[in-house]
Amino acid sequence: MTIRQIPPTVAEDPLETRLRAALRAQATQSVPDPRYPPLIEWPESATRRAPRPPWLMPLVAAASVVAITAGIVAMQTWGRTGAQAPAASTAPSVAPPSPPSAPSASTLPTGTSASTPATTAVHQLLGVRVALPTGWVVKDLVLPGGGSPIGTTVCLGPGAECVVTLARLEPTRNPVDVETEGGYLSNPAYCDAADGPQKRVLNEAADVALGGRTADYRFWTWTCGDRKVHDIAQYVVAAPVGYILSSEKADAGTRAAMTFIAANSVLPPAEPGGVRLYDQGLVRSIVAAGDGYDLSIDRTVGSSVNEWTNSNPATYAYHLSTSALPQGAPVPAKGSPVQLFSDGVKVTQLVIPGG
Amino acid sequence: MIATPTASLVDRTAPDVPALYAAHWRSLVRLAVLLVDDVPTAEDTVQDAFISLYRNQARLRAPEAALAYLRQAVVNGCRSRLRHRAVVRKTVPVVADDSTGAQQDAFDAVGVDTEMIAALRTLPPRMQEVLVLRYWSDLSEAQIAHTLGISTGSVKSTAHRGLEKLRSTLGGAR
Repeated sequence: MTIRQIPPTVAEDPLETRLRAALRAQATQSVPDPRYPPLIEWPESATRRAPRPPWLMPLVAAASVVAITAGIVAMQTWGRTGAQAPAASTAPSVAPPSPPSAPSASTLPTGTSASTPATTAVHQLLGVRVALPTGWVVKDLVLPGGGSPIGTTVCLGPGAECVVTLARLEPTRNPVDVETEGGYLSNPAYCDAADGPQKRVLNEAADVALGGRTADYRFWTWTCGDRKVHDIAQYVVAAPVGYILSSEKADAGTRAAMTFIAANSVLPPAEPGGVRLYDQGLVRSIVAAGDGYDLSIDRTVGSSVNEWTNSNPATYAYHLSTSALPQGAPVPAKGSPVQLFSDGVKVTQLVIPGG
Repeated sequence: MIATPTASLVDRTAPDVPALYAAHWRSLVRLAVLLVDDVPTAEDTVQDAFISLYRNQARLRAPEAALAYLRQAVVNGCRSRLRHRAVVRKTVPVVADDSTGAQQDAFDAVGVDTEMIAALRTLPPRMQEVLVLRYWSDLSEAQIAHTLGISTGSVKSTAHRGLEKLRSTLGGAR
């Protein structure tokens, strides 16, 4: 049954009436009634999946318990005999790499108190030497629409579950935004508004290391009206070549695994002279220079200008070439909030939130 | 965060996507064309949204959630394409399009309020989205909030500021 909202009973502003009529006329003129949908070829690989049998999950759980128990017994046996554990088939022949600049403990995101898991495999993925914790594997990633909006993406996780994604950013496909879940400009929606009020909290924000490069780390929790909780954690290396390591199932264990991956993987070095892909802050100075102007900002944290915090005393300098910006791009005033998007070479978009 | 709304995707019954396509294709293309101002792009966006739904249908919370999913996917897709277009505009030389004048005349001929549509196009994308969802799709503030992933308070204030900007652009016109 289609539920259509009843038009407002109170008298409508004439401007609203005019807008409604204009939109209706424009929509109808652009897509007239006789126009029928084109034939669509539904993807064969996405045929409906049969419902999961109710006995499958208990069976998988039981099998997992047996496998883990067997593993523990085997490890204890090796420990008693003093024998060296044989290398796993996927284990590297050398020790896990140390990142060029491993993050200090104080800047690392908080994980679990569990001991750091041992590396079982090192993969070369998207130009990154990725070290995975015990039991984690690389999987194909299936995304709605058949492609990632941010760049080539791979999926990492324990067993069959895809809990963490690693993507190589392609800023011309979708602008990078470190303050948004997923790392690109979007409207994340983890809750169904029909379930009631939802709450989104930024738990942690810090500059940390990901594979030897500086990354913006964010950890959010969404609490939905139906009491479901979604934890989202992500590291965004927002300078070319950029990467994002993110999880929408970022419980403590997953965050610990992400910390491990961040500390033990190696990213390609930053491109010399590369411009940061995203920045936001308050304009501290703006001076005409060359074909545009030089801008310095105090970097802020937060996804909505109403929530921005500015605890960082440093300023960050950019040159904005007017020829690289869209025609009619606004010129910010001193003190105003700005968001800067770049293609890694030059700033290509400037947004004044709420402007 | 993947582009299309994952929040409503959990194991449940699957909807009949081809039936939804037949029933809602036109209204969704109209929604998209109001956001991107270009029919081929609007059609591509809507097609992508349906393909996306088809691929994820088994994980949809309920068949009733399908239309909301499609609407979100279309709005997100339109926004993504607008941003891509902004990038392309900077790198591809603009060629004078002779069809613009003819198209303008045609719009006038069928009574499109070109002044209002032009004023709408000057608003920030988020403001346009709120106004289009409110006054074309007839969505409630809560539905718009869900579609855009923002609070109902933001919807209310954005709509209010959008209308005031339109009023100002149109010179206080009513």
